[in-house]
Amino acid sequence: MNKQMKRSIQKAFEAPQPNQQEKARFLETLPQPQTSMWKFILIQATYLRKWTLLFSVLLLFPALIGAYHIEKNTLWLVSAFVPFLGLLAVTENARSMVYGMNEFEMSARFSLRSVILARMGVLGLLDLLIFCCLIPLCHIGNHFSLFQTGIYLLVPYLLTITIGLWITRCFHSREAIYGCMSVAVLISGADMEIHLIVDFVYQSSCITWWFVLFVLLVGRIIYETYCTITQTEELAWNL
Amino acid sequence: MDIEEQYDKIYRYCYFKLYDKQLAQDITQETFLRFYRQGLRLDRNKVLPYLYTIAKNLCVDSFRKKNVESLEDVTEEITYDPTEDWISNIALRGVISKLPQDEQELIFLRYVNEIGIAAICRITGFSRFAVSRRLTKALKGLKDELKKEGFSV
Repeated sequence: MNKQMKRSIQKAFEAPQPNQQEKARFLETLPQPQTSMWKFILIQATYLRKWTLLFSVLLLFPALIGAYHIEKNTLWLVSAFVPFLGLLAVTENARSMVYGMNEFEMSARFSLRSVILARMGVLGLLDLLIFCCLIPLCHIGNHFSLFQTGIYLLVPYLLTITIGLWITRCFHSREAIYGCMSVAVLISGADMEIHLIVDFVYQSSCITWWFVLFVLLVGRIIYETYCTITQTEELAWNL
Repeated sequence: MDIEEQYDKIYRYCYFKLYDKQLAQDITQETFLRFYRQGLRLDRNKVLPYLYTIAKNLCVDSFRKKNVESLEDVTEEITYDPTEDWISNIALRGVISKLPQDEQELIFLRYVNEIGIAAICRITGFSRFAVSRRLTKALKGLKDELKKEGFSV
């Protein structure tokens, strides 16, 4: 539509000016309760499954015990557990889909997109705090630097999340959760075996490749998150 | 949300529905009061549809209570500057009034209040396809009518 036509239509629908004094008085006295994003996030945090939070925190115990008793192998023990931390985060995300509530939630007051973003944020923050504790604990007693320890712990976690997000995005059924579980078990098992079978990948010379993998996984997670969020927009096309 | 801007737009919407200046202003204020009274924290993309839905329902309630003036009776309330008009406003208004009510509403929401298609879908309950199709049809009808009236479009 050309601008002239649009302007003409706007003029054709022009309404008489409202009483400006009345308008100003009303807008001054209009109570506008402040809405807080933090309050919304806190509310959503309370809806996270308690056992998700509990199991996430419980993962700290193998690290604590390992750090005191089996110092050198704590890293391998914990890195075999972290895929399950990723699994917990992914399954929490796909919860509404698993219970067949996603379409209903899409049209609710708070869109599924905001809810998922808030919950992902809370879980991400919790996982970050857990990693902040795990990395120094795993660093105790091994010859790797703190940076290397961090990368070796984060890569299996990010890999689980990446594949898990892809599975839950592409397969919309309860089976998606079983797929995520299988991936977590596979990555956990591979993590335990790789350092025994092909230990050269953990040499300092390979750290650049690990870092590249880490960056690629972070990029892929951002992409998957974007796709997941886009998918949770209301299905306006189907109305 | 710029409340002052939205106040004017909601007022225009209510006026388009009722053609009564005072009633439109009262309903606009009632709309905002109801919106804030509920203390909801809505998604940004749901605020406008929610406001318009409240306004629409209040207009329907009000319309049921009293008979409003017809479009022809109120045209004299609006002042035009004929020197800058491309098409006579009154003629255009006449042509628009011939369109079905829902098409008029779509044109109003899209081109006068400049609301996005997604928000219009939420307000009207139509799908994106339906909104786009109806808008195209309405504009085509509008142009055809204007041509019939002798305007070059």
